[in-house]
Amino acid sequence: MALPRPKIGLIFSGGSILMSRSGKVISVTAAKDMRGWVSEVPELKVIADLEPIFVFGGKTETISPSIWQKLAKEVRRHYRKVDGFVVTHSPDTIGYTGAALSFMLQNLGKPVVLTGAKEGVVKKRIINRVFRPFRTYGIRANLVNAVQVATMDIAEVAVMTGSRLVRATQLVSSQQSEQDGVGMGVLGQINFGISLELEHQRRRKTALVFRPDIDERVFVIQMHPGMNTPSLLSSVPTDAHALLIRGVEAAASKDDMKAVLSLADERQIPVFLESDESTRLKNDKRIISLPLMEAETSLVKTMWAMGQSSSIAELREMMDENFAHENLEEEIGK
Amino acid sequence: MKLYYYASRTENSKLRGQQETIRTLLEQSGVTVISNLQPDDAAAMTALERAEEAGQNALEQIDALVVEGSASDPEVGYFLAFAISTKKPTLFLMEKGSTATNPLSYLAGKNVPSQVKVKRYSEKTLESAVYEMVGDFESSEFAETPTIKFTLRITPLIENYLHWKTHNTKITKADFLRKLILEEVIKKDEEFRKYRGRKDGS
Repeated sequence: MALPRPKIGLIFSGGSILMSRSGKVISVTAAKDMRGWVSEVPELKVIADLEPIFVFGGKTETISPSIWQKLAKEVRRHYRKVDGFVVTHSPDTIGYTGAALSFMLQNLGKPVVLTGAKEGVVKKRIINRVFRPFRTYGIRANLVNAVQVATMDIAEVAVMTGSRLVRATQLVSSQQSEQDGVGMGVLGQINFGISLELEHQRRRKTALVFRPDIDERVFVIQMHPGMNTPSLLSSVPTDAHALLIRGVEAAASKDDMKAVLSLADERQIPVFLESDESTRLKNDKRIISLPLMEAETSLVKTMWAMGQSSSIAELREMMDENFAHENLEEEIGK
Repeated sequence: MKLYYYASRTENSKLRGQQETIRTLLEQSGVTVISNLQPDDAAAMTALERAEEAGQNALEQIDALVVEGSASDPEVGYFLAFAISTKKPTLFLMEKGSTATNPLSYLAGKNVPSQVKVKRYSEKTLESAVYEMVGDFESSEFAETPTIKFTLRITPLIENYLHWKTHNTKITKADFLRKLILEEVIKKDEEFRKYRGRKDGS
């Protein structure tokens, strides 16, 4: 007996550069490009029916939180009509977008798989750090794998990176843990076929919880030795709604933190602190401690939490809650 | 020749028997067969290791694909999509009378590369279909094209010899070595020729 044919929403948000069969480089920069582009990858239709959806066709550096919201809205709009989603995206900022979708789309009952190709030259340090597999896997291979995964029994926001399917909030950890043999964040492997790891959320009939609000006015301060704190603080925009402080252990003196908290007090804004020491800092009424997360994820979660509430108590609760496996200490402990 | 054989998952014992027969026929034809019917064998492990080192999909290490798609199995479409995407020589077998949908039917004919062949088989025609495919592949340009990356550390003496032998000629060191292996080793190895003996006499 024939199985029902799956339908996959193919959402374009950059990262769609590919070589056509006639040798021309094509990509989707506007909705009108979708049809021609899809006709260049007919192999995808062997796996599923595709519903092309255009969101964004600009350059990587112009992707912003408003694009994340548009992506989330399109997933919600098409949620009942398709069995899963594939999102094309440039590898450069795929970690941010993946994290954003993980928070905005909760209680997922079907998969959202991000993948894509690089635009132009990706900086070596980015390649070496995270996206090495993208160098050897072309977009065609990534798309075939991503569309197949979007038909499988999985309901997570994930990134198809070369030979592995990785949870969006654990992209960097999955690369590092591979060397240690820990395998955190890896949801599936591509070897002969695609095999999903045991620990993943399976498909379920649940109502999508849609929480797209986000406040992008979070100013990040990277503490470092020899920093000129007054100068740095004078560059904090007047419309910043929150501060996210990194590198406290490495460089923050008492006076540095005093100056930061003084500014926060003056502006009545919360301070999100990436630090695993200094209890006396954590007791300050403006400080919200962040659990251990990947850098992109912690910034995105901070923006997202600020979009949900301005209450310090509620922000603390949200940061403590492990919504999308982003809390790495909890994940390692599992 | 290294071949990956995917047998669609089925509870039907008769079909399962046919699928095992295909595997046997492929092995008897002298090719190295990696299959989901025996996922942990040595050839599969070696191919996986090589793929990992090269940062490639394991299927990239394979010369050809055989897919038995008589049962409804979503992975069949995946392998066919891979075959089309990479233009990998592929034989897609479906038993006559199978009610499974042919995933290639969703494509216009022009989008199915000539390297992907579809055959409906019966018990009587299965053997010839398999051997014909192996024969076609081995006589095709694919069999002659070096596609498998192999790293070999050599001694300074060997390097010296290769340099002396090939410099000021149009032949590269790699081509020289490939020709040497084909003509002086493989063609003269009687045991290997017997190992590759087939019922079709080639």
